[in-house]
Amino acid sequence: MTDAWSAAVASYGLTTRLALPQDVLADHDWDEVLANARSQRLTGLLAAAVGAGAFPTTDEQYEQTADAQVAAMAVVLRLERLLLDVAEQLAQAGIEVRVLKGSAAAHMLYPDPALRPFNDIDILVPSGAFDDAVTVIARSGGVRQHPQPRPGFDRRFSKGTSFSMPSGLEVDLHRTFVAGPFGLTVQLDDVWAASRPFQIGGVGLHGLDPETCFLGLCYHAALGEAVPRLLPLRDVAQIMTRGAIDTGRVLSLARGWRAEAAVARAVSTSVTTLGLEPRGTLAEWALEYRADRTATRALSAYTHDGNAYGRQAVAAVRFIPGLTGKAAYVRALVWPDHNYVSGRYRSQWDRWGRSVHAVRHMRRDP
Amino acid sequence: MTPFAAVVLPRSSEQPLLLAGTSQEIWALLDEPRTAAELAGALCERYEADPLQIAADLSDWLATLYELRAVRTSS
Repeated sequence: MTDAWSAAVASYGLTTRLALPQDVLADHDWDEVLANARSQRLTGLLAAAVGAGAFPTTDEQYEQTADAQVAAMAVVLRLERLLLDVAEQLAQAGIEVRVLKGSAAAHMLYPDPALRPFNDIDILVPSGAFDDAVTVIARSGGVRQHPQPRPGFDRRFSKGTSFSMPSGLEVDLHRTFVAGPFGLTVQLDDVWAASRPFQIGGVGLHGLDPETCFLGLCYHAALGEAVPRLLPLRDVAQIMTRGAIDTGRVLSLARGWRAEAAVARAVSTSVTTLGLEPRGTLAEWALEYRADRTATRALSAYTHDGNAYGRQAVAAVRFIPGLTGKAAYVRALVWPDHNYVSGRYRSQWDRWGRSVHAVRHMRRDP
Repeated sequence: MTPFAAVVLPRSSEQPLLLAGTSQEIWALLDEPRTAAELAGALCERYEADPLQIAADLSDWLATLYELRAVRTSS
């Protein structure tokens, strides 16, 4: 039952079939709901429901909700300060930036950004400026969590990279939305063609335009974890139910980016998990969509538990255009720099095993 | 802003401030720039309290937040 209440919390404020508890929960149920809210970053929505009296609580549960949300907001404020610092440094280096996911969603999609906590910052830079952006963030004390397999690999093939900053906070630097096959088919020119401004603390930043923002959120919801998490599903529902997107353009971009399977999974899972009425072209399209064999295989690289990185890396081979590109990709994974191997794999054998799979895929896909 | 308190990260600090109760209300009033007199006037209306007492308390509150660089004056 607590999963159902967590889903009801995630859909709070939307028109939904899911119901919040009518009565105060027993402590063991409450503890689970609160733990879920913390781990799934739903404290903003829980706080709103509790604050409005829609989720009945004891005084102690009320205090615990307040503490959880205040703690989440304290992290968010530190992250937003970091975001402003990093964005300014990149701007000074002449690098254009788009803010993705947490901070952008909180400010652009929700009536109150406090409804949408986040625990890292995600920024997108053009592929051609990726290496420079890495240098800028490293100069600020950022330490890459994983080295790239070979020089130039990231700006050509990877989703991006993550940095641990001296403050202990994390910056995810992206050049595309996701790792693996779906990340490689994003038409980045579409992404950079337009933007939408927003402000944090009076400072102007840029997020994505509504349709590319929606697609980015769909990737995150559908492909971020084997089982989609509630907050990314809420993000998808939030933008969809606000009617702020051009459905025709979304579907056209999804076709062009070979993203239909991911979008359909995000939208249909959002509708079913959050108890939404499947109204509107997009929801109806998603519920009727059937992926072809290629899309199903690509999707399966993200939707099974265990070693997602390895599975996505192998599945990506099929989606890299041209034999030269495939060869460069496989070569980087088969003969990476020493630092990459020692950081990511248990042994040489482990790396070779994965490489063999990659080579087999390359042979199968001329 | 949460339903329970405003959480503010002043420019001079790595530690967020928690503004609850009346402090949260004053913070919400500062969503738009206001003079101290305007703030005091709004609070007098809400609380029907002694204007001099409100002005004095507000002055201390503003001084503290100004020192922490959580608020600033505009020209």
